[in-house]
Amino acid sequence: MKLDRNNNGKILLRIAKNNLISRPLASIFSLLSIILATTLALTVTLYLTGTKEAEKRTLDNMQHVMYMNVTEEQVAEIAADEKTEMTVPYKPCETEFETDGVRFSFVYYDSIKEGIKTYIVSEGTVPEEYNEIVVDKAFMDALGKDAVVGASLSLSLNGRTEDFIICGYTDDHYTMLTHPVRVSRAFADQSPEMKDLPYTALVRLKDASDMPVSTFTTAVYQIALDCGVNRADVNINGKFEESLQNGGVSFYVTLVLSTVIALACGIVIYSIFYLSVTSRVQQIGQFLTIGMTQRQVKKMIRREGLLLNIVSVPVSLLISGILSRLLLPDGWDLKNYFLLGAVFCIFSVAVVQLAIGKPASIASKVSPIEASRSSFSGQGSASNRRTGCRKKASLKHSDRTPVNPRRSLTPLRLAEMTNRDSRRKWRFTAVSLSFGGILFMIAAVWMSAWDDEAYSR
Amino acid sequence: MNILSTNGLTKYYGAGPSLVKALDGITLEIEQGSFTAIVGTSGSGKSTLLHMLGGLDTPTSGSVCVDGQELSSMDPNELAIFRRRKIGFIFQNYNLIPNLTVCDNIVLPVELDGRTVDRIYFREITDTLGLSDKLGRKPDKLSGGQQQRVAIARALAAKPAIILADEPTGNLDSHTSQEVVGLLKATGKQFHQTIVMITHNDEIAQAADRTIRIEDGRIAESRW
Repeated sequence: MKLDRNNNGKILLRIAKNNLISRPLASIFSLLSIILATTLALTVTLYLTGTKEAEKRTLDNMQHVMYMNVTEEQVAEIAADEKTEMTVPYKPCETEFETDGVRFSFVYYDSIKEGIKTYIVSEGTVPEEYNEIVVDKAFMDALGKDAVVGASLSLSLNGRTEDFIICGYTDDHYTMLTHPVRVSRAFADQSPEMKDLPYTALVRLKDASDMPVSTFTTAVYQIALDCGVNRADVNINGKFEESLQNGGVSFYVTLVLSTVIALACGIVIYSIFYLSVTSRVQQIGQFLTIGMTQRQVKKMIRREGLLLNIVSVPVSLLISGILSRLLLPDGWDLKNYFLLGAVFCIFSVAVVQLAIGKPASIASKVSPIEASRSSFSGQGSASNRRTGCRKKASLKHSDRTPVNPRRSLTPLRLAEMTNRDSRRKWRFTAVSLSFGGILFMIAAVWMSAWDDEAYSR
Repeated sequence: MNILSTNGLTKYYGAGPSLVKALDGITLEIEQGSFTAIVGTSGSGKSTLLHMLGGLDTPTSGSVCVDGQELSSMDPNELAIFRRRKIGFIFQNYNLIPNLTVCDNIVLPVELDGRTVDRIYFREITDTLGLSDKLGRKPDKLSGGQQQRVAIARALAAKPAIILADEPTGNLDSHTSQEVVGLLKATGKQFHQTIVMITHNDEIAQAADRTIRIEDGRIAESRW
């Protein structure tokens, strides 16, 4: 007879499932702990990656650098440089004008949707003729006029009046004090207000996102040198430059946060399972008597953890997905969500299995004889040692006169006695509560400490 | 043919002046198919002997041989596998798994071993013990006598070499006790089982083919 064969599978899973169902409170607390920890860690990570994603999306539609005070020829030269990916000529008119109490200024650039996003015409066409303009509907509202394509508009321009045809509208809901009026190239090159103004070249460099910061800045100034642009007229996009430098910071932040959360969750799960195992020493003893091996006992406990993960992980994924989408819709990315979701699934299973490893090992070492003799709290040999010590002490005391007067049994005294007798349980409870409090305070402080609007103001 | 034998079995606890001799040299042989009762006063070593015979505890010295297998050479895992294949246990407090049904409790040793339940044999056991209409219930919904029948069925399910019963009637009233012992004897004969029963009740012991009396960890008397 082969005594080394130890096969089974379904029965352990069934027993594990029944164990969880028969202890609903402990199972619910375990589930909640795993759900909360996984949701918190995943939501924070999705938020951090979402912030980076939102920033990336914005930067993907912005210039990397502006070369100011350049001529049309220089703009063409910059565009021809092999290091540039995209060049947009841009001519802002700093002078502000006023018509019917509404302030405006002229600006020239082409309408571009991608790369270097300028403006998008929601109605009509881009200006091509000298007197064609594109304005925002908010401008027309401010003037008290209807936004109709093809409407004519007379604007006062410091000593003269110019008649324009509105060929298109944007719908950006501008609330600025000075409204932009987008003019044609012809107006920018020929009008008295703009003909003498220099151009600014808005430039994106090829493969800039993959460059180290030093390589990027070197390329920027090299282009300036090659095209005869003064160093003082080079204006690098600081946000983009910063994004090249801060690559690893959010990763480490995520790692530290996730570790702290995993530790807290692990401690809670460990204590729940430890208490669960010690409270069913007799049941485990029964299994061992019937013929469950130590390995099977460990497997049974581990399968309880796995079943908890099977229920809790999908819930965590759903909640964290909804939360991160609500918190930062601009940074939401499905690929990131699935990738991070998979990582945190594995992370959650690993933490739970690690946490229940010790209780599972304790359970497997229960002796069937000990189980049949042990008290319901299942304190086993440690308790016996303490009892033995007390017995020895009491034997020594028996020769002496009684020392302690009888103290009354109050609820507080009973609680103290329970804590003294089960110090391990008390420590687990205290540590779990402390960690829970720490997590709560971190989350509360983080949520209330950072205000984007206040910072920007 | 002997299905179980021990040779110079001892179990000592402590040392020096506080040495406790739970078993002090037990040598016995149990014939296959027999029904043996081990009797003795409280603290005589009956349960300790049963634990040794079932591989639940290790002796200080001596040997235990069950169905030709020497138990002292096995590690805990091998002993566990041996127990579920070769030994059926019946306890005073039934030791049923409370969150499993009657059916699951009965087939547990077989399923732990990864084997398929012999349906015809299973039906035979449950019919004999009057459990056919109770298979879906949980143990807490059964009376003491019914729970003990489930324990007997579980002990029989794996077709063990030997059944060890530790005070199986300890928690039952006299009428139910007689019933349970009667069932134990009948099923033992029907399924060709060897039964060793611990009891402190001489009346219950009379149902057995052989009675062994233990006193102070030694065999004081053995009669058929």
